[in-house]
Amino acid sequence: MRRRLDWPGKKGEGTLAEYILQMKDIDKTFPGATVLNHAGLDVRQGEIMGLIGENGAGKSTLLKILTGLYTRTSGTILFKGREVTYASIEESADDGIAFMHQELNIFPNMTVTENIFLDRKDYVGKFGMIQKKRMEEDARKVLETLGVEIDVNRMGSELSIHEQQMVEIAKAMSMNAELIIMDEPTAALPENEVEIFFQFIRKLNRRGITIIYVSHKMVEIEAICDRVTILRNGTVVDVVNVGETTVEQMVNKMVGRQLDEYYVHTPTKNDGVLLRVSDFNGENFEQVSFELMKSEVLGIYGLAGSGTLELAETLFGYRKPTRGGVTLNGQAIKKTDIPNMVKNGIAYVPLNRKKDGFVRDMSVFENISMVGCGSYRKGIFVDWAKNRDICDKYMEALSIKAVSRDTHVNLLSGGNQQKVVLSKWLSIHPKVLILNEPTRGVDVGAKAEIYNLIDRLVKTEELGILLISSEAPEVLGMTDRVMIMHKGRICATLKTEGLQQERLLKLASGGKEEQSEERQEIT
Amino acid sequence: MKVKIKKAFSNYNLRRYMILTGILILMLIGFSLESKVYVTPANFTNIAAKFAEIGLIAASMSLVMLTGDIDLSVGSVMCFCAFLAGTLMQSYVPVPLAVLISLAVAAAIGFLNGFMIAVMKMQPVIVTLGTMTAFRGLCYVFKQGGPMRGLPDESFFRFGNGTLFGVIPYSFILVIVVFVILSAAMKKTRFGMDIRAIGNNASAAAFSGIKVRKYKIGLFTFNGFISGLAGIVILSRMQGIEAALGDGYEFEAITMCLLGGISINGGKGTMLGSFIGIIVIGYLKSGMNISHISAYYQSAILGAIILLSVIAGNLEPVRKKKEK
Repeated sequence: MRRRLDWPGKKGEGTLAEYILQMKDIDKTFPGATVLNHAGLDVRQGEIMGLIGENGAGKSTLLKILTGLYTRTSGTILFKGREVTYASIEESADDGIAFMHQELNIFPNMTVTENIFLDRKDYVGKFGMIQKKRMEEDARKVLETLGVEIDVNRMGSELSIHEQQMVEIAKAMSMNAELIIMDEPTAALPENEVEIFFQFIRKLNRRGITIIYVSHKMVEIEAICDRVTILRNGTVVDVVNVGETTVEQMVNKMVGRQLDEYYVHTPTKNDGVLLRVSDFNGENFEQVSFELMKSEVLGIYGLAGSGTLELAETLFGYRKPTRGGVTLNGQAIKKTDIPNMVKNGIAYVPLNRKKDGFVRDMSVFENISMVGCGSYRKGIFVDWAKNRDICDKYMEALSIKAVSRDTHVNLLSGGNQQKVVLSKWLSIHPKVLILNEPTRGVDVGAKAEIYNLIDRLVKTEELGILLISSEAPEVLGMTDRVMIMHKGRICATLKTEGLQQERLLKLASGGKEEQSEERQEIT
Repeated sequence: MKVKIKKAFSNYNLRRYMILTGILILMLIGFSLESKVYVTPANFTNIAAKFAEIGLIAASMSLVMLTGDIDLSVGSVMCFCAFLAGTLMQSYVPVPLAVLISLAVAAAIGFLNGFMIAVMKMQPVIVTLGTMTAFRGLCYVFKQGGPMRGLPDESFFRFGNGTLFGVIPYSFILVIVVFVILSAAMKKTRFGMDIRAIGNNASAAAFSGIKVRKYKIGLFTFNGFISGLAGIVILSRMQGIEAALGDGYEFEAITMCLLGGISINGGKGTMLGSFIGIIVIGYLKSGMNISHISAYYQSAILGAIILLSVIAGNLEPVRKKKEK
């Protein structure tokens, strides 16, 4: 059927034909930030190539450039030995590159057949009628060759996540995909289905399909990949053969050892418990108990899907807890909705800034005064003049770069938008500030300013900060203590001082704590 | 000076006011060539009385639309409450009590709309289409489809037909009062900012501690209440009520708001804009009547104006995209 090249046994430089994909010297700059700097990705025909890197290292940007979602600033891409530039994901799909996104694109109200052949034109018969029978037969054939037993007439909504993935892959196969990109494919998969999924990937691979596998989970990378490309800060640090390199070595290369001066936080004196969370349960997390001290930065480190988002949103009152409660300064908070949490002095800088953080078509002033404007009044009316002064104060203190306070927030850069969100909350002098990935999508300069601000706040404002992050250096550089979350549970709470990055990553990806050995040594 | 005008034109609301005022002036000149009556105070009194009810509805509709919702039930609720008040008065219930009961019922209908939309998370169009149809049906129940004429207490008619200084109808003063109060609430309190935030981005508004659900229920309740008030006014003005009356008022009120710059997506527009929208539509219709333009053409012209107002509202984003 398809031309299948022999698996290259020898390591090192291969001939051109061996490589199905070569990306060379790829540069990508967004206004104000360089995301990729001479990055590349060489994938051999028939291999499973792992792609790892921290958040913001440029993995997804690189893949989006490959599939035509982004345009590159410079560099060349060779696919099957031919130089290519795809203008859209459809173009790259036609050429044989399938992209399986983290969020599966299964339409719940369509059948399996329709999901597989959704956007195909070859099933349109006379008078523009869809040739349903032929389509169903072909769907059955594709699933059969994959060895998957799914009724082609089932609706998308009836499928399990595993089955949805199978349908996605069937879709890719029906388009004669030769290269499948899988972005965190196991993120939503239950643990016991991961191995089944892996067997399936191996089967695909034996059929000659080349796979690029993106994951945060080192265990999986080790189990499934032949080689791994390691990205850091938009550059390829190394390409290693799995089996010749340990996970620790890979993680070390991925994380690097730079940017120490970035993280300005120095430990503070903890004077008393500020926030006590006890036996807190909710959607996607359970049995969470911890204490946040006054003037402390407490980190919560967890990978995507570990439950940190749900925990934060429940603490802030956006979601309802199923059990457990929150005590602030010794007082139990009874009503857990956002207005009451805000009244009690709990502030939250959300993960999805564009959607939840600010109102893009309103001015900097309106966004900053959105929470606190009611506290300054003249009789029954709001004292807007006073509010404007306060807005100016925070714009200056956080050096928000905007033409004026009446500029719409959507015209600002990511960093300045985040500073607007921060100002909005700082203006009400919160007692607890929950920051969810506060530096995501923020340029390097603003990142440093936000770190500075965090440190300054806990030292001058007498508040406690919960810093939720999936960036290990950020957690290690900016917190006093860190809680590590895995699968909805806090699996460890550690002092940040002297904590090793490798240990953090290992714990967060479900690795066993080596402490037991240490303990044995002690006893 | 040039810079000032350019700056004013870059402001969405100011641009709206200027365009509408321009249209109004052109109409005043153009239609007065057709008939001198057009620009007289008497014609103003006529227009103001005729459009007072829709004007009232447009005021509260502006708020609902600012939060990104829509209420189609207003015309039916207005008619239903007029019938209810009239029936009560014919049964010799004292006028103030009859009015209060009708207004309470109207507010309750609005609350029902709001509850289904904000709490049960149903689509505003579907919910209010349902209440619109249901209460229109109930209007026909009162007199088996016939009109209601004559009330025992004739003093009630004074409000709908009286004027201040012989020029401004009392009902239109009510419209102005409602607009001034709402405008003040929008500008001087955090109310305006809150509802615009909800209309622009309900999620971010909720994450800022704004009580999105309460606002939505409150605004639909208020919209019901105002529709009831419009029903009282129309009952007083027409000294009776017909079951088909107010059919299409919802779209006329929405048209006024859209013309005045309220965005159908929510978050954009002002009370002043809606107010000018009422005046422009009022004078346009009056002008078309005076010029003996047939009712069929009137609809076509009005439709064209709605489309033009949408196009005018979209011009800005198109230009911005090009700049980028």
